[in-house]
Amino acid sequence: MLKDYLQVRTLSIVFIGDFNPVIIQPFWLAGKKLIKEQEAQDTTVELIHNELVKYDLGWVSVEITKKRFELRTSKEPYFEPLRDLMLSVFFILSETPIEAMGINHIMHFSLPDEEKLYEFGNKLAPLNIWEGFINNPRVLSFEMYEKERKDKLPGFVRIKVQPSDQAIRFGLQININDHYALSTNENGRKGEMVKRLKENWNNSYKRADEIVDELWKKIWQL
Amino acid sequence: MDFDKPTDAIAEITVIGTGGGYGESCVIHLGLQKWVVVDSCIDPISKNSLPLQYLEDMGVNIDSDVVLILCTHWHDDHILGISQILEKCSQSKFSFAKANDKTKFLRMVANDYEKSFKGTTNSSTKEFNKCLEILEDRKSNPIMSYPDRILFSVNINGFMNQVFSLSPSDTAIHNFDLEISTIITEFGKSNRRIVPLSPNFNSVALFLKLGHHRAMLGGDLEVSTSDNTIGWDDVVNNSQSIDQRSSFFKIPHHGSVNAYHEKLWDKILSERIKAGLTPFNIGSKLPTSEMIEIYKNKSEELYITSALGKNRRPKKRGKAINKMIQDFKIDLEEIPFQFGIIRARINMNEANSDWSIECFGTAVKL
Amino acid sequence: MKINTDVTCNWILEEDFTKMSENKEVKQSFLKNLDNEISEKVKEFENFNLQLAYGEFLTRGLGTISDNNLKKEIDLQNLPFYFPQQLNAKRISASLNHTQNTQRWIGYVVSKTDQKFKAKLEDISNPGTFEIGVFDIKDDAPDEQELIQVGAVFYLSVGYDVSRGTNVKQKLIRFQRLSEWTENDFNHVMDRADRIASNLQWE
Repeated sequence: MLKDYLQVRTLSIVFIGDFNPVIIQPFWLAGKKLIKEQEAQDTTVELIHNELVKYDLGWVSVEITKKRFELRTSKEPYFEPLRDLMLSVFFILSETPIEAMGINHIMHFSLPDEEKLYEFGNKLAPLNIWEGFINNPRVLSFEMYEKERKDKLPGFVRIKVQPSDQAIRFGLQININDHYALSTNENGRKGEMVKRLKENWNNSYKRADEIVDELWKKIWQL
Repeated sequence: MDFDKPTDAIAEITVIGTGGGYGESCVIHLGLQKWVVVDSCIDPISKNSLPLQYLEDMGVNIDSDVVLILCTHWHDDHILGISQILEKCSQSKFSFAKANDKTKFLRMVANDYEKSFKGTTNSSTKEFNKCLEILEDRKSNPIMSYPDRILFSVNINGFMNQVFSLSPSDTAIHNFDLEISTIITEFGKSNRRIVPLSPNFNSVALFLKLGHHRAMLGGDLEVSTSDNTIGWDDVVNNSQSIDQRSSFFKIPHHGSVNAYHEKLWDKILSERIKAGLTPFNIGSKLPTSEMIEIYKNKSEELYITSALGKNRRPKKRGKAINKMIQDFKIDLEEIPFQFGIIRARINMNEANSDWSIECFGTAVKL
Repeated sequence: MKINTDVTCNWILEEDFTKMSENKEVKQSFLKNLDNEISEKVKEFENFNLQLAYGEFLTRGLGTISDNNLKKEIDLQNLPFYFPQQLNAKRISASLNHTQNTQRWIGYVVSKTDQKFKAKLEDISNPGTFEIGVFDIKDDAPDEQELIQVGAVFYLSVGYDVSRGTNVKQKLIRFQRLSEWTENDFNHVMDRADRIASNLQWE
């Protein structure tokens, strides 16, 4: 299974809405008991500005603009704590308008050899179509879009496949953007997206695994 | 496992066990294809409800023939999968132990349910909440269990076959109302799961009238050392519905010493009683060997859904992970899943007939 | 946090910036330019990614203020979405801290003594049967003691932590931290309970 080749798994949860970046600083989080005091002390701050706040707590990276709030980690033990942190911040800031959410699963795999990497791209997008007028064609990025979610919630799923941008031998990267939007009778001011995250976290994670497994199976059946 | 359906005149009590970690359940045939399910348990891999699977394997028409689903106590992991059963059994009534303060009880349950999506809720609360939602959708009121309440009644060949609840007693119901406040205070925080605080005097025990015969299901009801108006003392001293000695008994609370009532065995249960029980394997192991000896002496035949014997072991995992667990000296033991069924059947129309008991899966006669 | 605060400009800066120049006007002009630059970059990024909640960080590293150069080198990407170059390893981040071969559980405390706590564990990595674990409070969760109560939920994991290219075996216990119930939460709970109470009669 493709999971057997997994090297790095990154989780990123993004809210799109209206935020005040400077509020959510490490000592604010510690004050609300959402992180340890020591973590606030040891934070590596890159920037705190009223347009952009970016810092690293050691186990999660935080990046906030006025329109976008993202938590990200590549440390699997912290996937649920990341979710807890996201939920808790927006339980506290319950009046924050949030209009969309992305639960992003970014996986980097190390395939056994260069040939397998080449074949993967070739089966996704047959290279013989490009031969003749392009010299030595390779797939650099391949993206699919699920227009209507399987669970019938407003939103979509985007899956991008590309060579890995990490130092991984014969690395393959699959980004699954599990995107949730508001329905027509929602205005984003009643915690709708927080509820979506609460209710869909498990399914999103499972679905990402299923997508990756299915892709692998189908590729090698071709 | 292959199961045949009993004929209309054959009563059945089937005890389903999972080895002591994934719930337990009883399935009862009252006759004329009227079925009752008491509690639920799941296969931890597939998450399927085992009593539901048992009924489906037999070919029971679950949509119409399951008439009652009983939750003997909501806060224990004895009801995993119960909402699956209620969902499929559209004609079934749902019963649980009475709470006097309905609103306070529902608020406690709703409070715990609110935590469910953060992984903090007790899984039983989640199940219970789902059941409430199903009932709400169906506009079907739940039936409260309390002493000597007829939960279901059906006339079969001139016999009134009935299911009675024997507990919880009035005192236990009153005490539970007080306990709710404590539960909310102790476990109301968003990152705390409810862990049962006290011995179980709220569990529903049942008395079954099956034609010529009687049976009792003990639930998880225990014996109080200080108050004879709760637990088995109340049943033994005050029950009005017990009109005859029972010839089959599902032993309560995994055969623990806390659930053993001498007078119950001597005065209420038949001398030729056949009994079944399920083990417990989280924390303490039940039944103890001492209690097994007591039950063996008191009953003609004794069965258990899976034998306790081997110590719990670490779960099987890949070498690298196992080595890491060992290197870090993490003390882990798996709660094994052991699927066992004790099936007891009797001809309701024949006064002299006896229970015929079969074991399936890991169930054994002791 | 390894920073100094310049209150007037609402910045939190690297320490060595304060040594950059004694001239207040130079500093302020520099900061204003930086301010504008950041606002522009953020706008560009948001235009691209706003609808997509896409998991791409705006920044790949902000660099540091150089003592010799008044113009801060900020490595902000024009677009976060770029074609990776398999053969060009320069972009590769050896500092992507991550974990490998992780086994994870979620557990809750079922009993506790002064020294130890016992927990029921659900395997998140390979869901199935439960496990019972016994943990030493001082050794396993020394800085979580006030959170260790019966019913408390925690996350357990073992695996390899890869930081700055170094693999280290790691065991982690982290107790769940959630916000306290808000008034909204309580209202929601009450509403739900009251709704069910009015729709269902106890028979």
